Amino acid sequence: MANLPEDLERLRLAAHSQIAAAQDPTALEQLRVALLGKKGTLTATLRGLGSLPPTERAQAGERANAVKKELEEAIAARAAALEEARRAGLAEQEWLDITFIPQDEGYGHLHPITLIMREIRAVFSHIGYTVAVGPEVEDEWHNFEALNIPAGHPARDDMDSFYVGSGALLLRTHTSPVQIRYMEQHQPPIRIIAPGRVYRRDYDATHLPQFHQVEGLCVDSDIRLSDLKGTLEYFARSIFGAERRIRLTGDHFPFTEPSVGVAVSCGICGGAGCSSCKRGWLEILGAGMVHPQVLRNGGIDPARYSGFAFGMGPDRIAMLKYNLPDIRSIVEPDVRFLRQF
Amino acid sequence: MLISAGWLREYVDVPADTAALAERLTLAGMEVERIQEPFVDVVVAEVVELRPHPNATKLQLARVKTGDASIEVVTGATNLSKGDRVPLARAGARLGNRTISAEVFRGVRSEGMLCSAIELGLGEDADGIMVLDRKAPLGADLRTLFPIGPVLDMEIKSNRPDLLAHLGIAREIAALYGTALRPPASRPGRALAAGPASITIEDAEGCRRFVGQLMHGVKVGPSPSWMQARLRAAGVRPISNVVDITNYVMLESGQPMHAFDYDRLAGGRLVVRRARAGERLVCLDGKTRELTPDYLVVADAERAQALAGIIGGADSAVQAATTAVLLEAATWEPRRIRATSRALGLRSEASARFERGLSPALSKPAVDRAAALLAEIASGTEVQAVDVYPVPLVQRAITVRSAELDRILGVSVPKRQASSILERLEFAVKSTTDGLRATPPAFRLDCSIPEDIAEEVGRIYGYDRVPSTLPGERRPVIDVYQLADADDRVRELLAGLGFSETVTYSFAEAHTATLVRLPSAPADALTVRNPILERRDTLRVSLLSGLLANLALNARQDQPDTRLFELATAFWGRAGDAWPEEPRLLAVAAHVSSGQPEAAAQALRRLEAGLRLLRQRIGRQPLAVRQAAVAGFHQGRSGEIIREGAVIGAVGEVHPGVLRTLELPGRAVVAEVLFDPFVEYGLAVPQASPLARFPDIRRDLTVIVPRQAASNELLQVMHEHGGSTLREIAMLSEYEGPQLPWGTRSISFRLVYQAADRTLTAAEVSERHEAIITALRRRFGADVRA
Repeated sequence: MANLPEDLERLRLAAHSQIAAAQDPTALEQLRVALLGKKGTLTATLRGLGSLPPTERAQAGERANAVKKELEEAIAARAAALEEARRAGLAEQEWLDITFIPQDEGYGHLHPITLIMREIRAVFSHIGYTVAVGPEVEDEWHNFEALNIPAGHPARDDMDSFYVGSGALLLRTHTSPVQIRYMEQHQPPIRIIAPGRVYRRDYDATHLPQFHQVEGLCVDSDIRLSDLKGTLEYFARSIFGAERRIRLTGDHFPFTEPSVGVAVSCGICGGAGCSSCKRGWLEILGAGMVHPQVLRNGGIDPARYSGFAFGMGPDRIAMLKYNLPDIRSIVEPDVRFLRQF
Repeated sequence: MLISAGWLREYVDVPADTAALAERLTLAGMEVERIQEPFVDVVVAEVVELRPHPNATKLQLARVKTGDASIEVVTGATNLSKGDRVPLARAGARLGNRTISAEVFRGVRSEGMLCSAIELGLGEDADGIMVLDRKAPLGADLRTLFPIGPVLDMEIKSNRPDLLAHLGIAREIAALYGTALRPPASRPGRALAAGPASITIEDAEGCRRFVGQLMHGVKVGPSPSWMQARLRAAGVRPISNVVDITNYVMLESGQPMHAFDYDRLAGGRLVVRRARAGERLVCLDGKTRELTPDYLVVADAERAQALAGIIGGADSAVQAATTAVLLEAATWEPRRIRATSRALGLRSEASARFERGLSPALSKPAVDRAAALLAEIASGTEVQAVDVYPVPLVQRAITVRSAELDRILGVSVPKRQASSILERLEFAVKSTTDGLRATPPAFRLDCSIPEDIAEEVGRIYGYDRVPSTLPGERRPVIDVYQLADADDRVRELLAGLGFSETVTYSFAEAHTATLVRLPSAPADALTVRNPILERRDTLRVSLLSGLLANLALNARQDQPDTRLFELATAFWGRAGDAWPEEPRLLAVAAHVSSGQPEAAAQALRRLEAGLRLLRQRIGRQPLAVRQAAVAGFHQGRSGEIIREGAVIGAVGEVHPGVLRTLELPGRAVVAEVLFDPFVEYGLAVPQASPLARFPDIRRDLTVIVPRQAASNELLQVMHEHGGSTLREIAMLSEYEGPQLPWGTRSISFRLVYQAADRTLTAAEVSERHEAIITALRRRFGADVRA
């Protein structure tokens, strides 16, 4: 075995060219096993060292270990080079059209009324209001009489009602009866909003027989008209934007005194007047100081307490805010409409 | 209400332009909806030459001058002669919303247009050009000849009938701007009590006051042009001087009037009474109306001559030959007027005012004013005045403390200023030590409490001067409401699961209302006595038929396989109780357009998985479903949703017959639940338990059972025999097909065993597992492949 160094050198040279020729990590690994594994050729060569005379053995062993280390390094370098090449090629090999976003019909959409109701609730909950509910089928006392609207009152003309069954019950024409029901059960301080469906016998281009209202009621000692103004200003600016202003105008409702109409400045023309508004203003709600007789009807002493109430149409607010085409879109069941929300 | 600003200026100076005035009036509660100028830049011109149009036989060319300059215009009118003074609208002038421009007619350029009365809103004559008085100054703006504009279209609140009048608006303007009011010179009627006419009120409840004035020597003819122009500006058509005067006084003062031809009244007398059953009246509009004793009439000795406060009769109407006129200004009970007006479907300028409740104080001055105008314009002579007024109006003083005024308004209006505002509105005001006492003017019936006084002061002072505050004293929230929170979370989850929210009508058609519904819903829907939407004459007991109709609508719009939900109230009538129950229901529905049973099964599985997620996530409870044939559902594919032993919902495929009725092709799967119990009233709070410290052991189990064995029954048996270490069972898969015996189905479960205090041994688990298998074999004849 005098030619061992020669064998080793041949092996080394051959291995280098094989390593350089390996084109993928699998081939390289196979080569590593073939050279350096337990049954590998270099390992076999190392085993052959034992047959050398002791004088040559040390030198040859040193040499063989150097070759082994050299080959291990060459394999590692080749592996690193291959990995680098693979990474460099990834962009090419695994290229994906990331602008192709398949239509996913799998998600549903919330109704715009839900969205606006949620906003209104959130705005008022920040200033201590809770939500109260009442029945949609009402009696005349809560819907009319307790609110200073006796039979024959002209206000009933604006609130033509649906009568239910054979009795005297009707579908509520506004959410104001919730004021009375709540006062019957609670003493001040009262701060509630009452959202819900209401019904009037009106059906034309601008009216649906079923729509929504949100009623508000605040009763406490020493409540003033200025509190009403501040509250509604906070509300309108929260819903429509901080740059908006509100305006109170004289108005008339049987259950408030004084009564005011509340308008918000137009967001399109900024108050200058345009086709979407009335000379710069959009009427959004009616309000006023709760009439003392209404407080009395709710079991609250008007000598001790005062309050304000307001009523708004979330359908109209949603129309303004979400640019709905017309009132009928509220009951539009077409999913192509609903998908926009 | 149309208010002519030109007319207003007779009674009050307006120190502001029209836009600013409109703004101020709106703030004070008199909303100006539109401002219309009937004509702008129309001037008086004289025809100096007329010649035929070279290219058109029906047109001619008129050369007109407005001063030194002259222009040529093309006209189709045939009533012109040289020297006529006519209204000329040159290029740039406006008639209503129309702007005039120079135009070429058949090759000849017309520099403007000569106007007819109808184009100017000054008459009805459309054929000829309006020929003006020869004394009309050349070049003068037509607005100085007819000072009526601009016209304000105002919305007057129902409590203020006194504002349906030019004088009423003028009074408010005087109060707003602090200027002087100039009411028309009033001349008290001559108190001629004795005379031929007699007036009797038999129905005192219906008529509070009746003022009459008999005039002789009246010459009926057209009213003067200034009066006609004002009437037209206010939207009232001129008829004759007598009728025009009654309308003019109404538009001026707010008090409607009527004029009878006295010679046509049988017995020369008037009686206010209820109509007799079967009595008929030919009204001024030419229609004959059948009367009932609910209606109030003004009758002569024999029959009804007018429907009180609404419309006059044709028989006694003033005609060209009339010489004796009996003027009427009465005060009618508003509710009676409103009821009659509604019953007949007849609203008039008069009824609109009376039904708002006019003050009886208005009637006497109105008659006096009309009598004076009749004397001035129609040569009438007052013969006899009658005033039947059994219970005169007494206005009570309202005491208001200044502190109260400040408290209501949230702004401190100085007492002197508050008094001044009220006085300008013609309240009688006295100062007290801590406030004031205000007596409303006789024409105002809408003020009785301190809050009313606060409103008067506030709206004139200006709500824009009220500061914005928030209730000062912070108090804790006194109530909680969590349902809304559950509402929102359920909605969001359903949207995530692919269902879109809809809002549908509470009104349902009787024949579909109860087709598919919860087992606990009543079989009959409540009726709406006076529906407005065609055929929707009941209140829904279930949301499902509405949702299914919406699916059908979408399918027709080429939007198949839609998934929808709604969360809303239904109405369940209760025996022996007029008040219905109003359960809040959650309904979900998915369309399966292919109509394939497998596709529907898949959709149903998906829907049930969604319900389970809602119930777990919001209600914090497992979803319990019991196989059951629910009415309106596919009898083999429906079940009830159970909570604490009670049925709270139904789920399944819709019965094909129902789909056919609702015209929905394919199949549909739906669920409906009583929302509040389903989400455990929104009160469930998640409760964490300690994580298991010892490993679990999972065993899969596949059983072959008869096709119609329900999984929840298998689960029940497994839980019964699984002991305390069987922690959960998941349903993995099911199979039905050729590899299994006919009439059977295989279901695979994964059982998870775990103990809280030790590591379970395989032997221990096997013992339990075997017990379960034995029980399944015994109970269902199950073939088990472990």
